[in-house]
Amino acid sequence: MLRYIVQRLIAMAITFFIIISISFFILRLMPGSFADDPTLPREVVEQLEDKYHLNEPLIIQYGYFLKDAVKLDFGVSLKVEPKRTVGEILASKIPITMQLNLFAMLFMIPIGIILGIIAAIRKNRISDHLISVVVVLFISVPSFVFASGLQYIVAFKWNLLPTVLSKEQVLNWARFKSMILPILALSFSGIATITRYVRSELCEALNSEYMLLAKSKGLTQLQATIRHAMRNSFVPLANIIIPIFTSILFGSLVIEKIFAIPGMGGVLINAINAKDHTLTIGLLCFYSVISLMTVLIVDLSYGIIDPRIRIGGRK
Amino acid sequence: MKRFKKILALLLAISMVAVVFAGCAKQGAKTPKANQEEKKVEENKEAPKGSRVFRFADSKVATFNPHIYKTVPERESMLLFNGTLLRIVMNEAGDGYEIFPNHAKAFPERSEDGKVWTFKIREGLKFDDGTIINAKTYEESYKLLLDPKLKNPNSTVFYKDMFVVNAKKYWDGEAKWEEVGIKAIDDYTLEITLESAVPETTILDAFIFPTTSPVHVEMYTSLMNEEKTETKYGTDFDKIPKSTGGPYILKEWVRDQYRNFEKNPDSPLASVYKVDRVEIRAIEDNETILQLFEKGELDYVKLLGAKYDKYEEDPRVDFTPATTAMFIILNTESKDNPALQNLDFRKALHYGINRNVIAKDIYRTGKPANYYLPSSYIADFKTGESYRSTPQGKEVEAYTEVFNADKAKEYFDKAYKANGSKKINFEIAYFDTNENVKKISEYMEEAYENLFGADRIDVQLKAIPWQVSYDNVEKGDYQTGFAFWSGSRFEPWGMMEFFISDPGRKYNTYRNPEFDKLYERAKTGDLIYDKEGRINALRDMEKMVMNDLPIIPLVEVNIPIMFSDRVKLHSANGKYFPAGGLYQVLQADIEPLEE
Amino acid sequence: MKNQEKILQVKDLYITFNTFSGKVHAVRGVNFDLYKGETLAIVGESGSGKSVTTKTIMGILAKNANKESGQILYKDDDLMKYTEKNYNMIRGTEISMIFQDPMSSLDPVMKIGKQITETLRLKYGVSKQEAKEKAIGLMKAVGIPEAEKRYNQYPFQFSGGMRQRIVIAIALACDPEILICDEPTTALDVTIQAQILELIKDMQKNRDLSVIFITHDLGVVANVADRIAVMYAGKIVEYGTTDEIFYNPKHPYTWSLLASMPDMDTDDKDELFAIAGAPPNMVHPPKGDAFAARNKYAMRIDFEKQPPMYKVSDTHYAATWLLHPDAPKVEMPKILKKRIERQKRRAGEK
Repeated sequence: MLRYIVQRLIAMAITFFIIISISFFILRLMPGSFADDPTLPREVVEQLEDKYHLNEPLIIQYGYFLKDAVKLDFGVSLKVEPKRTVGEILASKIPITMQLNLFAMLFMIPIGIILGIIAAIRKNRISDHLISVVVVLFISVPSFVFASGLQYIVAFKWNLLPTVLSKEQVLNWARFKSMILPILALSFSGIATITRYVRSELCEALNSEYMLLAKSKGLTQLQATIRHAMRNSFVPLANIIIPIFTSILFGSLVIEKIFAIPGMGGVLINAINAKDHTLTIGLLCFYSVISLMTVLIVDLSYGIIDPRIRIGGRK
Repeated sequence: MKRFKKILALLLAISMVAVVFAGCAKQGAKTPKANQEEKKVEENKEAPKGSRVFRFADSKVATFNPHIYKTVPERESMLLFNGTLLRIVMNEAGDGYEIFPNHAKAFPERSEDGKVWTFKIREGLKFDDGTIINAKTYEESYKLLLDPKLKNPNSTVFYKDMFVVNAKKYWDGEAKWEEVGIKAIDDYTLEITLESAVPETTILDAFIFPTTSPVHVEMYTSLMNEEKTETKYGTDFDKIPKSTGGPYILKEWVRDQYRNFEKNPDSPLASVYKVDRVEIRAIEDNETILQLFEKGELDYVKLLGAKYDKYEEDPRVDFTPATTAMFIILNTESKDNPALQNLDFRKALHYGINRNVIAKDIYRTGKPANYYLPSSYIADFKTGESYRSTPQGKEVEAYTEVFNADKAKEYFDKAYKANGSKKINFEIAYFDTNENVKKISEYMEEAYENLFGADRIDVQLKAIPWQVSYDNVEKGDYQTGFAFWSGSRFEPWGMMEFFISDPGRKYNTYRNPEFDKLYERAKTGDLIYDKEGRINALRDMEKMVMNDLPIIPLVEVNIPIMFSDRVKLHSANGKYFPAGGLYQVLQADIEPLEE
Repeated sequence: MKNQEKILQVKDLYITFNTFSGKVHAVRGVNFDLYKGETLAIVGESGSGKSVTTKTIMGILAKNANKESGQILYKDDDLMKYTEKNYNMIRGTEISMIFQDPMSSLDPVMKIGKQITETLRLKYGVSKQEAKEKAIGLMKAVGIPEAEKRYNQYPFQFSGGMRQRIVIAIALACDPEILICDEPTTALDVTIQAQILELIKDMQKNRDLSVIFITHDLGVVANVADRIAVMYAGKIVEYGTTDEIFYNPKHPYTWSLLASMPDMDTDDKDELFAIAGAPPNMVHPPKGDAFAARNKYAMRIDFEKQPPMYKVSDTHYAATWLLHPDAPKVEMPKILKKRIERQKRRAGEK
C-alpha cells in the first residue's frame, strides 16, 4: 500500500508540474496586461509591466517563475488584491468557504442518505415518486435560483433570517443564522446526487442474493437491510461525497455574490479577467493540488472501505 | 496495515474539521498585540442605538494603499479616513461648491508665471497614533509615491496633466530626489514646482484625492520587502494607519465584507461633516442591496436597470449625474467602409438615431446627448456652475439635434450617391459583456436599416471584449467602437484631451491643428486663468467635434438613487447635490438610529 | 432408516405470480410430506416450480406472488398463515435454506465469521466470544481448514467449494430441523460437488436433519436422496423411494429424464434420448396433462383431463393415465430398460 501511495504521489507531482506549466504559458499568451489602462500613457504601462518581466520572452518569464516557485514564492497579486501574497489571500478567503462547505456536507449527507434509503425501500410507491420529483428539481434548477429565491422569500418577505452574511467574525449563533440560507442553497444539488446514488445502489443491494440468504437465516427485513444491504451500498459512497466537497470548496461564485460572502467564489475568474498572472498561477497551483489530492483520496478510500480491494490487492 | 489505513482516514477527517474551526478561531483572533484593539473592535461592530450613522453598500476594496488604488469605491472610502490638502464640500446655502482648505490653510498661492505653487499646512494635524503630519510628511509621502523601485501607477498625477519638475525622471530612476520639484521649505510650507503653468482646476484636481494624501512613512517603509520593490501598506486592517488626518477614523475593515468609520473630532472638517459614523458593506448583488434597503438596514441604494421601474413614482427617487460620456468612435479613415470617410455619412448616422429611445427605453433615466460633455462637468469651480447650463454649453446643444429622420435621410442620400450608389456595409462593434451596449447596437441596426433602407445599408453587429475594442481602435483596425470616457468633474478641459492629435493614447482619428491650438491655450497657454476665455474654448472645441463628427455622442446616463427617510439632505432644493462624490451626504442631517 | 414421523406436510399448494404477460400458474396443487431425518429430492426442469415451492415454505416469495390456496403444516402450524413476524421466529432456527451460487449468497464486505455468528447473536443473544467459538466449531465441522485464521476473512478469499461450506455452516448455525438446499452444487466443479454432497449427508446424520434437496441433476439425486419427487409444470408427477424411481419409473416424464442422461455405458450407436419441445406456457396452463404435448405415449384423454395419482406401491405414486386399469400396456423406452438392467446387475454384484 505504501509503495502504491508513493507511486501515485510521484505521478501527481508530474501531472501537477505539467498543469502549471501549460497554464503558465496560456495565461501569459493572453493579450493585455494587468496594468492596461486606456488613460495611462503607453510608456508608463510598459514600465509597470517591466517590473514583473511581462514584456520579456515567455521562456525568460518562465525561468523567473520557476526560480521563485521552487522557493515557494509565488509573488504578490498584481490587481485583484494588490501586494498581498497568494498565501495571504487564500488564508483570508478559505475559512468561510470551508465552513460553509462543511456545514453543507453535514446537512446534505444525512438527508441525501435518508431520502435515498426511503426511496429504495419504498420503491415505486408514492414516497419514492415524490422523492424523485424533488431530486429532479434539485438537479435541474441551478443553485443560485434557489439562493435568490430563499433570500427573497425567507429573508426578505418573511424576515426570518438575515439577508447577507453577518458581520460577526466568530462562529456564534448570529453568524450561523446568517449562514443557514447559503448552506441550504449549496446543499440542494448535493442532496440530489447522493439521494439518486444511494437509491440506485440500495435497490440493487436489496435485490441481491445475499439479502435472500440473510432473510433465510432468520434476519428480519429491517435487520437484513441495515446490516447487509446498506453496508454494501455505502461502499462506493466516498466516490460521490469527496468530489462534492471539493467542488463546493472552490467557492460558488453566484451564491457567494448573492449573500455577500467573502469567500473563494470568483477569485480565480477575477484573477484571470484582471490578468493578475501571479495570483492566477498561485490559485491554480492550489486548486490543482486539491484536485489531485481528491482523486488520490477517493482511490485510497476504496482501499480503506472495500475489503475486496484492501486485502485483495495483496494477493 | 489495516490500522494504519484507519488512522489515515481518521487523520484526514480530523484535519478537515480542524481547518474549519481554525477558520473560526482565526477570524476572531488577531495578533497578540492587537488584543486590546480586539476589544475596541468588538464594541464597534454594530452602530450603537441613537447613532447618526450612514449605512450603504458598495463594491469591495482591493487595497487601501493610496498609491496603487484604481476604483471609485476605494477612492471614496479612502477619502473618509485620509487627509487631503484640499477638499470640495457643499456650501452653506446648499446650492454650490466650496473649496475647503483641509490640511492646507488655504488654496495654494501661485507664482506669477504659474509654475510654482505653495501650500501652507495647518498645524496640529496627526495620524491616529499621534505622529505629526506636516510638510515634511507630505514630501516624504510624495517621494514614496514616485519611488522608481515601487513603480506606483498613481504617480502619474505628477507627470500627466501637470508636469512636476523631474518627477517623471525620478520615477524612471534617472534623477535624484533633490532635483524633483517637491520641497518642504519648512515644517509647514510645501512648494510644488512645475515645468509649465497650469490652470487652478488642475491643481485642485490633483490635491483633493487620496493619491496625494500623506502616508505613515514609518509604517510604509517597515512593510516593504527586502528589495524595496513592494510594500504591504494598505493590504490589511493592521497594515494601515486608521487615520491620516482624515475627517473619519477607520474603525473596522474586514476584507471583502465591510468597513466602518467613525468621526474624527480633530479633523478640520469636523464642523462640516455631521454624520457620526459611516458603515459600508461590500455587496455586489444589486437585488441583495435593494432588499437590505427595503428592510431598513441600508440608507442608500442605486436603482440600476429594471429596479428603477418599481420606484418610478416614488418621491424619494433622486438622480446622480454621471461623469461618463458615452459615445461611439467612428473611424474616419476606414478602408473597410470608405463611406465613413464621408462627413455626410457620419451626419446621417448622427441624426438617424432616436436618442430618446435609448435614454428612456434602454437606460430608463438617461438624457439624450448631442454633445460631448455630460452635464455634471463644472465650468466654474468657484460657483459650481455646470458647463452645460452656461450660454456656451447651450449653444453647442442647439447646434445639432438629438434626432431628425429627414435630415438623416438627406445626408444618407448624398453619402450613398458618393459611394457610387452601392450598398454600404456598416459594422458596429459592441462590448460583449455589456447588456445595454448590446441593446443599443441592436436598436441602431434596426433604426438605420429601416430609415435608410436595408437595400442601401447593411448593418453588421460584432461582439468583442471591451479591452479588445479599445485595442483595435488604438491600432486603427475598426469601423466603430463604443467608448465610456470619464474625467474629473472640475476638469472638462481634461476630457478634451481625447481629441487632440497626439495624446498619450489615441483612440480616434481626429487631427485638427485648430483644435490642438485651442486645447493648448486652455490647458497650459494664455487662457488658463481666463475664466470666460476657457469656457469659450470649451464651446469652440465641442463645436469642432460636432462639426466633424469623429464620434457620435449618445446619451448621458443618470443613475437613479434613493435615500432612506433618516437622511435629510442639506442642499437648497433638498435633492442630491453631488459635492465631492457621496460626501454631500456627510453634510446632511441624519436621524439617530432607532430600535 | 427413517422415522415415520412427518415433520413437514405440503397440501394442495397453489401459487401464482402476477406478471406483465398475465398470471403465471407456477405451482398447481403440490402435495408431499417430509419425514424426519430423511432427504427428499425434488427433481424437475427449470420452470417446473420446485424453487417456488421451497421458497413458499421459507416465506421468501417475491412480492408479486399470490398464495392461492394450500397448507404447509409444520409442528401444528400452517405456515401459509404465517406473518413475516412469525416467519422470523422459525427461519434459521427451525428451517434453513441454502442457495445455488455461494459467491452471491454471501455478503461480500462482511467477514465470514461475522456472517456465521450473526444469527446466534441476534436471535439468541449469545456473547461474542461464545458465538465465535461455536462458529469456529461449525467451520471445522463443515471442513474449512485453519478455521481460526479464516474466521476473519472475506468471502472472496475462499474458493467456490469453501464458500458453499460456509453457507452450509451459516444455515446450520442455529440448529434447524429442516434444511432446504436449492441446487447447491450446480455452480460447483464436479469434484467439489461430491465433497459438498458428502458434507450434507454428514451433517444430516450428525444432526438428525431433514433435508429437501432441489436439483435437476439425477446423478446427484441418486447419491443423496431417500425419496424423490419429480415435478413438471407446477405439479408432482411421480414420487417414491430412490430405488423405486430409478428402477421402476412409471411416468413418461420420469422415463424421459432418466433416459436422457448419458452414462458411461451409453453405446455410441444408440441415439441419445432427447425430450422434444419445451414446458408449456404457465400463464394459460393446459387443462389436461401438461406433459401431454411432449409425451409420445400420450392418449387422447391426456389432453382432456389431468391424471390423478395412481398407487404403484405404498411409497410409490405416479400421476399418469397409463396406470389406469383400462390403459394400454406401455413399456419404458428400450435404452432405459437396458440401463436399469445393467445397474441392477451391478448392484446385485456388490
